[in-house]
Amino acid sequence: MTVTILVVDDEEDVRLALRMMLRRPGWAIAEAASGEEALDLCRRVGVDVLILDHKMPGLAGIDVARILRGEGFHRPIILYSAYLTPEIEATAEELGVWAVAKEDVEELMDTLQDVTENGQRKKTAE
Amino acid sequence: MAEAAQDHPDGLLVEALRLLADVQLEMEKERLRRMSIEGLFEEVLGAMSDCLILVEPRGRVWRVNRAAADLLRRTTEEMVGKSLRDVLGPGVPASTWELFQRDRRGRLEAWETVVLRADGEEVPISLSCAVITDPDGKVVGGVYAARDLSQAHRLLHELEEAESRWRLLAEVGDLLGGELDPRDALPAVCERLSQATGCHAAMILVREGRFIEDVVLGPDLGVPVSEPVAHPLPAGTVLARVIRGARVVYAPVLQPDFPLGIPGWPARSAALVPLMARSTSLGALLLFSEEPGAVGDSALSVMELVAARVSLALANARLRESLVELEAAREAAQSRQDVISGLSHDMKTPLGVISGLIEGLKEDGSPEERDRMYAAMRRQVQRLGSLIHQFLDYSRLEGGHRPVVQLQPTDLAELIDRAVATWGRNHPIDVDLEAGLPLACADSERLEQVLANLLSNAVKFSPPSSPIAITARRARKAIEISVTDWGKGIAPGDLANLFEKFHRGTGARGTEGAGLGLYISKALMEAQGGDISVTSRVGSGSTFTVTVPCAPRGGPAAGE
Repeated sequence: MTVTILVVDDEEDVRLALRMMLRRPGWAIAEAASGEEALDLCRRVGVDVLILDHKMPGLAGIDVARILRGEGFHRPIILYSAYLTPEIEATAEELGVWAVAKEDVEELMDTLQDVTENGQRKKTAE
Repeated sequence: MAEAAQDHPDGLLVEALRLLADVQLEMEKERLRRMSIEGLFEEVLGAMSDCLILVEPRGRVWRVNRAAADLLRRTTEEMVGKSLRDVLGPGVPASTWELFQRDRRGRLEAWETVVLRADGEEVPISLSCAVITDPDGKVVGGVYAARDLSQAHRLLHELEEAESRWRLLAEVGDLLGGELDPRDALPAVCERLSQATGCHAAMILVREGRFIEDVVLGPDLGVPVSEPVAHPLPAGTVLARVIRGARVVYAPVLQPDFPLGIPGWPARSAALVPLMARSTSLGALLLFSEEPGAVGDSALSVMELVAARVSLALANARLRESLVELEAAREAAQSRQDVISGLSHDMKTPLGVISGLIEGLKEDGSPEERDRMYAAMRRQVQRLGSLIHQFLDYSRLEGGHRPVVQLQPTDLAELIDRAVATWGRNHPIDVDLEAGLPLACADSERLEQVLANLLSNAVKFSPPSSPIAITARRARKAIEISVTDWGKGIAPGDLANLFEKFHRGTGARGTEGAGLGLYISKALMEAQGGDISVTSRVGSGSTFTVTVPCAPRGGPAAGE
């Protein structure tokens, strides 16, 4: 069964790096360049895992997560940002969102591995 | 009474005692009757504590009591028979007789005057006078009563002096408190002190206890002959002794050419009081005059009070200044901390992309994919390099150094192409260069750094795929390069300090950056002999324009 991972980042190079890095059998990568675009895709297409940048022009990553959770989107969300603060991490925790620092590629891969193999055992929105 | 005596056996004895008492009373009355009127007078006069002088109708002194003799320091004999004016001095009416004529009803006249004592001293007195008439209304003489007022006058004078001092101090306090910096009020304080004492007032303020920082003069003094500011205190002078030793020097009478410490001010009478903040010398207050003896005791005590008040205000101002400095230093340290933390956050994205791409390169991929990944890695390495550059530039500027630039004839077309290729991705960039553009005199690496900053700002602050325009045209002996975006624009409140350190516009939330880009860009442009400016409208976008000088003609062209 294919897992669809949506990568949301305003920077093309970040999306490219993630796309190249996440080439695995069973993973399909979709891309969005803004929070708004991500919301649209999540609502229309089945997205299994979301990798969300935080600082973007327009909607910030954490706001996208909040909206999606409000709409009953219970799939794993990973906030992948260079600008994590204790406040943002606390909000992420409340929303059942993983927060991963942007330079930490290994942590991102481990988290992804975890959520795709073990589903939402570690963190759930409910 | 006779009846009572007969009723009681003791009645006779009582009656006898009464008779005896009556006889004694009659005898005493007789004795008093026998005393001369003059003797009685002498006794009454001598017992009075007020000074009494009796005069004959013609105005000659007839009798004087002891109190009057004491007050006037004259013997009774010296006064009797003299005219009243000879005795009391010119302060009394020339003709007492006139006074008697004026008021025959015996009413008291009273006034204050000054009498001349035998020892030459003037004594303030209150003098009252009554006319004595016989039963027929004929004037038989007059009586003057005098009371020494010197004690009362002294008290009154002290009271007035205390009040005027208090008023002066209150005024000085108002002057000092009326200015943001009490030093601005010091000329007015000197003026006021000079008015109050009739002497010249000046202040010398020092730094570190020995370097003259300021000379404050009242308007009566003008400018000192030599300008002593920033010089050390003149050695061996009274001024140096007062300020360094924190001692009051009071010299009511001075020899000419006395080394007061400030040339050009002749002083024959002077007082110097140190101005102190705790144990630190702040300077001295000077009061002096060309007149020997002009600086009196009361002037000295007034200036000591003023010096204390001024010292307090100066000490408070210094304390405020050091608090402000401390706060500024704390803020600067916090800002540096913010910059370092901001830059280290900014480095995370390129580091993450590079690590991701390294992972990606491990997998098989098409040659096109690998090319794209290498290109992305190059961009991110450049981005890291630029962040490190920014940090180094920032450290250099913080240390007070201008950025080092190497000016060379530079081809702007090439430079703009490079910047666009690296920083202008995702946005359609319209490059419009004027034909026949001359070479610029610039540091190509630094100029590219500035353009990169402007381009990445334009990308950051405008919607994806909205266009960005770069134009370059000649303007007299310089070249103007403009970067225009059609993004959200800059709020008018942010425009004024856009090029300042750590300025992050109100619209910069949600974007990365430590707020250093434009600050460093401005310093870089100025180091190249150019400039940077901005015009912007909220909602319609911004245009940043950098100006670089043209390379001198005939110089070596770039690339040759």
